[in-house]
Amino acid sequence: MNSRFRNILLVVLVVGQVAIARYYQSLRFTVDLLYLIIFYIAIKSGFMTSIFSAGFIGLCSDYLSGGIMGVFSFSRILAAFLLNSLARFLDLKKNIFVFLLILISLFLSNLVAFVFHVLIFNLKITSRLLLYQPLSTAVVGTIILGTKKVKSLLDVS
Amino acid sequence: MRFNPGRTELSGEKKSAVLVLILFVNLILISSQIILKNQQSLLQATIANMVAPLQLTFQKASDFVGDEISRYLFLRSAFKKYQVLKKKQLDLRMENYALKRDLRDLQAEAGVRKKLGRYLLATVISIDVNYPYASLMVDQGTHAGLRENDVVLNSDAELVGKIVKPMTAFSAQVRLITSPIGGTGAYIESNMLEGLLKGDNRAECSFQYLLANKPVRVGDNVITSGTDLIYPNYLPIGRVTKIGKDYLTQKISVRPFFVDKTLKKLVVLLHE
Repeated sequence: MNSRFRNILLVVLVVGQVAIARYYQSLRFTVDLLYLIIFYIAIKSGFMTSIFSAGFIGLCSDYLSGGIMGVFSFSRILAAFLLNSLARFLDLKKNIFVFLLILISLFLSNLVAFVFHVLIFNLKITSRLLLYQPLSTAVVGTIILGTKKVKSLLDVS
Repeated sequence: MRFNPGRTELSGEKKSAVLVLILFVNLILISSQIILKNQQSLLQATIANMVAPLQLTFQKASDFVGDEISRYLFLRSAFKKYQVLKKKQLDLRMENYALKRDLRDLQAEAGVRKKLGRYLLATVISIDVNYPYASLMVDQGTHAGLRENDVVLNSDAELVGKIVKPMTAFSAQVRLITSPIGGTGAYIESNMLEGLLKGDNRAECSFQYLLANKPVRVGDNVITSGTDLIYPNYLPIGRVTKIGKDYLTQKISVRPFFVDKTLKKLVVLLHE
C-alpha cells in the first residue's frame, strides 16, 4: 500500500514539474518538485543511491530548465550529500525541520548553481532562483511531506 | 539480521572518492559547454593543453630519434664509402708506384738503347784454360773499331765484361766481370742499394762496401749502376745467391747470368 502510494506520488511530482517547466520563464514563484524527490531519496536511501539519483534528477532539471547541462546535477549531488549526512540527526517528523532542511539545502544547492550560471556563463539570474524557489519549494514540500500518509513513509528514526 | 543493500554503509574514504568522482564527471560535462574566445570549449582547450606538451615531447623525441637514425645511417654509409675510397686510393697508389717504376725502367731502357746505339757481334775464339772466369778472346779487333773498355754483353744483353788490351786488328781480349782485376759498380735492383762488385776467378762475384741499412733477399737481381764510368747503368748482371751479415756491411754473393749460359756470340758495345 505504501509502495503504491509512493510511486503515485513520484509520478505526480514528475508530471507536475514537467508542467511547471513549460511556464518556467513566466512564473515568478517556481517550485522544484524534482528536488522533493531528491530530498525523499536522500533521507530514505543510502549514500550511493542518493548521490546517483540526485545526479540523474539534476540532469533532468537541467534539461527541463533549458540551462547548461550538468550545473543542477552538480549542485543537487552536493545537496543530496548534505541531506544524506544530516537526515539522521534531525527529527523529520516535525514539519519545521522538514521545512528548514528543504529551504536551506535547496538554497545552498541553488547558490552553487548560481555561481556557475553567473560567474562562469555570465547568465543573468534573478533572485527567483536563490530566494523564491527555495521558499516555495520548502512550503510545498512541507505540505506534501507533512501529511500523515507521507510521514509514515518518512520513517527515518 | 536483515540484508538491506540500500543501507550498505561505505567507508568515509570511499564515499568521498565516489562523491569527488561524480562531481568531477559533472565538471567535465559543464566544461564541455563553456565556449572560450577561440570558439573552443574549455574541455577541448584543457585537453589540448594537457596533450600538447606530450604531443610536442613525442614529436621532438621522434624527430630526434629519426634524425639520429638517419645520421647514423648516413655516417655508416659514409664510413663504408670511406673504406672503399681508402682501398681504391691504396690501389691507385700501388698502381702509381708500379707505373712509376715501369716508367723509370722504360726511361732507363730508352737511355741504354740510346747509349748503346752502336754495337757489333763478336764470336768467342778462346777461353783462358787456367782462369776460365778471368778472360777470353773474341774474333773482332781494332779493325772493327773496338777500343779498350768497350762493354761486352752476351746474346741476352747481360753483362759479360769489357775489352782490354792486348788487342790486335782481328782479335781482342775480354776481361770478365768475374775477374779479380777491377770491379763493377752495381745496384741491388729491388732497393737500389749500391756497391762494388768484384770477382775472384770463381763463378760468383761478391759485393764490397754494400751497407747493411737496407734488406737484401736471395734471388734479387743485380744491375749496373754506371758509377764506374765504364759500364752503362741498368745492364743486368746476375742474381743474389748468398747473404752474410757483417758489422756495417753485407757480404753478398752474386752469380752472373752469363756464367750459366753458353758464351759463343757476344755483343760489343762500341764507344761513342
